[in-house]
Amino acid sequence: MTNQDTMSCRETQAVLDELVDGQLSAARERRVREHLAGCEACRHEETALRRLLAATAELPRSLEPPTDLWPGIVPRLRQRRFATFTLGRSSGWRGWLLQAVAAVVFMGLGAVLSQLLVSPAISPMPGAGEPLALGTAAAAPAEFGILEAEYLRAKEDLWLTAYRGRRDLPPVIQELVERNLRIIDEAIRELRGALQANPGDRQLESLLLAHHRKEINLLQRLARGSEV
Amino acid sequence: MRSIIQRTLCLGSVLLVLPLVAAAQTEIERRVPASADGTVAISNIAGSVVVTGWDRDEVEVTGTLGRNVEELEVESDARGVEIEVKLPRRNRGGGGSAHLEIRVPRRSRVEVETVSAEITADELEGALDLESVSGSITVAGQPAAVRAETVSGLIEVEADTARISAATVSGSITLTGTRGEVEAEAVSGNITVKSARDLERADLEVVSGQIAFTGSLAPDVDFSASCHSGTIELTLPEATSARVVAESFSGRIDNEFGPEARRVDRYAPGKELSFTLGSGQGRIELETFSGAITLRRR
Amino acid sequence: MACYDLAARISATTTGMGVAMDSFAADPWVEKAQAGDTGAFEEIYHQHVGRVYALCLRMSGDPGEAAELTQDVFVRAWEKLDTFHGSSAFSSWLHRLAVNVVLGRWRARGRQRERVVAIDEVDPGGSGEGLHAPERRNAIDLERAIAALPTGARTVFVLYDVEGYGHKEIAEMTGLAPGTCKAQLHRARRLLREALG
Repeated sequence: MTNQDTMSCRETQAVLDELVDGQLSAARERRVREHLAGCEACRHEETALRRLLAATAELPRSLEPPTDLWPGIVPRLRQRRFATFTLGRSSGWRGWLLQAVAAVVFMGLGAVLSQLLVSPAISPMPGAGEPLALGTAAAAPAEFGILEAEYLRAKEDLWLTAYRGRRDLPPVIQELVERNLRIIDEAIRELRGALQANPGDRQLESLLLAHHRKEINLLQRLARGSEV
Repeated sequence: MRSIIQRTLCLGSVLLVLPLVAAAQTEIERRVPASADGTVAISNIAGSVVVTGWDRDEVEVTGTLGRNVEELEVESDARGVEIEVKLPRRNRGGGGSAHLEIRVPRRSRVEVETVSAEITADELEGALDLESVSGSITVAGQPAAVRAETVSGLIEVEADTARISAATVSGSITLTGTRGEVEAEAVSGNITVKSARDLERADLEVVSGQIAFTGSLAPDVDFSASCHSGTIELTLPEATSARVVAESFSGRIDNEFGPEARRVDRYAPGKELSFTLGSGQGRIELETFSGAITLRRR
Repeated sequence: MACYDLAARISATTTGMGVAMDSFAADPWVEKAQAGDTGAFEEIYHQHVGRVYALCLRMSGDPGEAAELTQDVFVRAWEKLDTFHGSSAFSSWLHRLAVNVVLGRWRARGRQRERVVAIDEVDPGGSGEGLHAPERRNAIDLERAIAALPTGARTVFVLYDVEGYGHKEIAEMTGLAPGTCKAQLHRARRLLREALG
């Protein structure tokens, strides 16, 4: 047996996971088992690992939620629409991806979209002697939560499509997009913090929604960036 | 010591190689008929695209295709003309650039899409729809409308056009001589609007970049600029007529026109400034979260 | 329909994905639900909520969030019911959707949190499996240890060792590079072994 064939403890322990998962080549597996045959310390590690995986396999597949969740689900089951959404662009290169992404976003936002496309006007602040003007397109307080929820859901769908497709883009662009997504996330975090300290503030709410929209736009760009 | 024969052979092999290298770049020249106001849609990946208007009812494509470009497809039908640089399937994104110079009927609607190729458009009068990931976009002339979008490419529009929509993530947007309506959006890039003339509507948004505006506004302007942590700087003529409302959660507001910002109870640290210039017909609304707002008078 | 051939093939190649024969009993319900029958969907809910909740709880390590996630999963499933074509078992489709909902929610909310788990919080509760006292205690310890793992490691561990997805699938679902997945798995197993002694 040459020196090359003898595996060290360190080498063995590094591939124990693969051994247990059956992912080693026959030759490699043989050498590992040879080492294990003569090494109690490594056998101990292997046993511990197998015991962990056995215990994991014993975990219950199904767990009862602490409360009945159905009542919270029912009101959110909308009449399902079978809309096919087309963007109507003359260009023939828009991949199915953009259509799918747009469909997801627009179907999710639904009737609420028309409100959101028009940024709520900043309600004029009352100056001295001026009557208090009512905000124009600003959403009623209860609606902000709903609007934000819609945006968040659209984002979730987009994230998966966009995030998975990002490797198609040149690394420089990937980094750039991720960096800018972080910038937007940071802004959202700050706005949320401010909103917590000033709940119901229309200004902050509209800024927050605007930033969700920006993130969605960016994700859409990322999602279709790999399609030319 | 090298013999003459050996040296000749060396030279000979170099000469043999040269034509092969030269052949790797393909010169192209194509012409197809086109209607005076049809659509010309162009797709390239890397290199450059220069689109210029002319008075013929034809589209002409000239330029060079680099190695790794499979072909240039030019198709013309009732809907318009499509020009597409095609890379071999196996070689997606692995280089392959084309430099295209395209002449189109002036009133064409022009759509260009590239990944890193820079886009230039000039002497056009139709609507322009230009998009790139990292290529820059430059527009001159008098297009009816411009839509330009990049991820990191610079956008420059120096055109006498009444409708501009520009969006980038980290590139910068520079609009010169703008009038009419303008929308510009960036995440971390800057937006600069210079020499605006009687601008009617503006909607400028950045998250962490800067917005700088100089120019004159129409009497009933609808101007809105918003940043999260970036700064807004407006330089307006003395004769501007608009109601100005500037608000910032934690940024400072400086106003050369006189009235000072005051604290508002609604935001714990927030400030707002509202005052009227001239007869106050237009509206100027500026808001930031933590960036500074500066109003300068010219 | 080719349902029964499919059933035989799937059960023959069970890879720990929890695909059971009973998933085909759900088929008539699925068809009705696809037609808009919320009563049928409620039946589907009752049949699958335990599995979905278990996945959400283990991935998030937090019962409150797991409950919200579970609801999100069923709402999303309702919306996407049209896209279920019966080419796989409904339960695997639902499960895959659940994983996507959990991962998607985290990304959308920019969540990178490392959570500190309170002792009493992660209790699997009654699952009707009748474990003996010492085994039950060990199971609880293991659940807690999983919940206490750092997010990345926990995600991969739950998907690989608990739910039985393969490395390639996990890489595809999470967007992580396959090498990163393996590294996270190794890390999770090592941390768990250390935690459990």
